[in-house]
Parts: sequence; structure tokens; C-alpha cells
Amino acid sequence: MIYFDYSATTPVNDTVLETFVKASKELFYNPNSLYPEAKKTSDLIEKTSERIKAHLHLPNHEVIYLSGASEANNLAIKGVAYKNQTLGKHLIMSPFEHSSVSACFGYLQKQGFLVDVVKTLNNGLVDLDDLKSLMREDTILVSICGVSSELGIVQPIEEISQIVHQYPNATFHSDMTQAIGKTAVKLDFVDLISMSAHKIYGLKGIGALFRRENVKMIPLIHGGKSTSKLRSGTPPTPLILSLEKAIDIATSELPKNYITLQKYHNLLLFGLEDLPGVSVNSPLGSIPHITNISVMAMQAKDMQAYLAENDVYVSTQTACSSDDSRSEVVYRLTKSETKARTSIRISLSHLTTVEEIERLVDLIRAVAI
Amino acid sequence: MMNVIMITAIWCPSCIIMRSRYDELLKHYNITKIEYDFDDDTDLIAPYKIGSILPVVIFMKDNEEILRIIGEKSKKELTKLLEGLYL
Repeated sequence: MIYFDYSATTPVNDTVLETFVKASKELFYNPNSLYPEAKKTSDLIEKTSERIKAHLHLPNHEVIYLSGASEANNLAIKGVAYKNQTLGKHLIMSPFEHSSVSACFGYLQKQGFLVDVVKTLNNGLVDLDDLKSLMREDTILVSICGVSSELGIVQPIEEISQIVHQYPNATFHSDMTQAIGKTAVKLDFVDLISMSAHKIYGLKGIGALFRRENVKMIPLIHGGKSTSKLRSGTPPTPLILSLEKAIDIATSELPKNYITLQKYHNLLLFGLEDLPGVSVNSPLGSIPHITNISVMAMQAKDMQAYLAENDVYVSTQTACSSDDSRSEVVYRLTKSETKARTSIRISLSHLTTVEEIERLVDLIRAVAI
Repeated sequence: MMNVIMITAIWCPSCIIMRSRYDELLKHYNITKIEYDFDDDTDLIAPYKIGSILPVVIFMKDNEEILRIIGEKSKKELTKLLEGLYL
């Protein structure tokens, strides 16, 4: 099997898994309890949070542990919207958000919040002039992902943050699930940051929302105070420790892995460049981990099935499509119906090999017309 | 009496864009809007045989479809289409 769907999920790193297993055996105590072993566990979680904040250079953010990025996005968006609705009900998102972001905005819109979708430029970057024109005194939340999951576009987070923070009631949230551990992005400009462990060789079932200390929001899961008053429930100590290990490895190995990924990405592009009817949809400047292409001779789901028959796994993305065959994101960027219906996402890893890329290119070449 | 059936999904950015655009425009017409959710109202939307693009907006008069608008349209395009209904 050849796997090219690392942006969907990754295999767990051995050290991360060992951390989880060891902590599961030795640190099973409920950190919310009061006896000495529980207190030690609670202290360990606190130290782990400090280490995570140090890895990500976020000294002024609280770490809220939760099940993953979808929950983080839900907590960030609904938590801020509900808490601050007396200040305003205007929200802004980008059109390239993950469905766990866009669905929150759709849900809130149906409840009476006013939602604007910021325009993007031909290269997929957020149109900063349009963002400026959309900002209002009653804007309470702007959500723009650091890296888009379907195309790999890296957004200008610092510039966006500067625009948003000219409005005192506005909070800036960014889904950094495809950014953290993959590309060097400064996070401290962002008020609320979502992430998930399983995208960076961690375990499924753990993620985090990083909250700047002055951001006001309400919890979605109510109960007793846990590691954060914003997320009740017994803290999953082994998962929390494994998350720290995954972030530590991903951030410390990022420079080396990025060079490897850039090399693999270039090799892939070189292999595809002369193939007839094949176009690369990811704009220049996208992260090398994600390459969205259209093989125009074949519908996306047929292409995915053809590759799967040959033990090669890629993904299709289907936002705003009702028949699993059309990418609204690719259409929005390319304005091509054909490209939208034939796009696949190839996502690479430092675990990828040259031979695997050559095999993929050979299979695409065999059907390119 | 005219009404409009709007088929959307909450995760769909085009639906978010068009929901507020339609709401703004329909205020000027005597049209009732009924919104169905693509994921939740599968039985209700089945008869409309929608394609692959959301949102789908169907204008009905006396229980007959007289106009179907699919996907994103500008305010100008929508105004023109709605004015056409009243010619």
C-alpha cells in the first residue's frame, strides 16, 4: 500500500505511542481528585501544558485539551459568538475553511448571526482589502485557517491579525490543523488556535484550542472545572502527554522535514509537468505537503478508485457538493468546472519515498490524455 | 401565491453567502421561503432531484416550478432573475 493521504491523518509515531502506553499504565489517576498521586498527575499536566506553550511560542495562551480540531473549532466559534453576542452578531470566515468551521458559521447564521465570507484573490490568498471593508464595529469573530486543507494555501496570518485587531470587540480564530508542525508560522498573532494531534503523527482523540488569556468565551461542554473551565471532563492524561510528545517531535524536526517535503513535492511536480490534461491546482507558495491536481480525463472519484485498485491512496475533497464529485474550493480558485470535478489531493510526508512518488506519477501518466 | 424552496447545507460556504443574499432580496417580494437541509431533510428534497451544486433555490407558483437557481449568483444576477418572474 502506498499512502498519499497524510493530510487526512498520519500513522502514530512510535515514541508518541510509547508515551501514551507508559502514561496509561502509570498515570491513570483522575487529575481532578485530591489525593497525592492525583495531585502529582495534575501537576504533570500543568507542566506539560507549559512545555506545549514553549514548543509553539505561545506564552500568553491557555491550552484547552479536547477531542480534536473539530471540537476546537466548534468551541472557538460558538463559544466566542454566544459569549459576545451582546457586543455584536457579525462574523467573518474564509471560503476555504474545513467543514467543522464552515458548519459552525452556517449554524450560527441560522440562529440570527450575520455572516460574511471574505473574498479571495486569484492565488487563493484572502483579499485583505475585502477583509478591511467587511470589518465593522459589531464584528466579534473572524476565522481564517492558517493553511487550507484541500489546497495547502498559506494565509498571511500576521496581516489578517493586524486588520482584525483594529476592532476591539473582534477575536481572531485560526484553524492551524494543517499548519502546526508542518510549516513555520507565527501563532502568537492569533487569539484562538485549533489543532489536532493525529495530523502530526499523534493519536486520534486529542487536540487543543489555544486561547489568548483575554478572549472571552463560554464552554460548550458544561460540568466541573477540569484543566480548563472551558472544557469539562476528566483530563485524558496519557493523551495529553502524547500530544506534547507529538508537538515536540513535529516542531523540532520541522526544518529537516520541510526540506525533505520540498524535495518530494518538486519531484512530484516534475513528474506531472508534461502530462497532458493534468493541472496543478495548489497555487505557488502552498505547503509542499499538499498538492491538489486535476487529471481531466477522469472524474475525481473514478481517479481515486483507479489509484486505490493499484494500492495507492489519495483523497478527494467535496465541500459544497452533493454528489461527492465536485470540489467547490477548486472551482472557486480555478473557475473551471472540469478541474473541480477531476481534482484529487495528494498529501506527502517525510515518510514518503521517491519510489512511491514515481509509482504515483506512472499511474497518472497511464490515464492522462 | 409564490414560494421558494431553498436547499442548503450548513457546512457549505456558498449556502452561507447566498442565504443572506436571498433573505435581503426576498424582503422586497411577496415570496415565502422554506429552507430544507441537504443532510437532514433527505426525504423532503428527494422529489426535487437536485444536482451536484448547492445551494439549490426553486421558485414555485401554484405548486409548479417556474425557476431554479443553482449555486452562487451576484446580487445583480439575482435581481434580474427575480424581476423576470414578475414581468
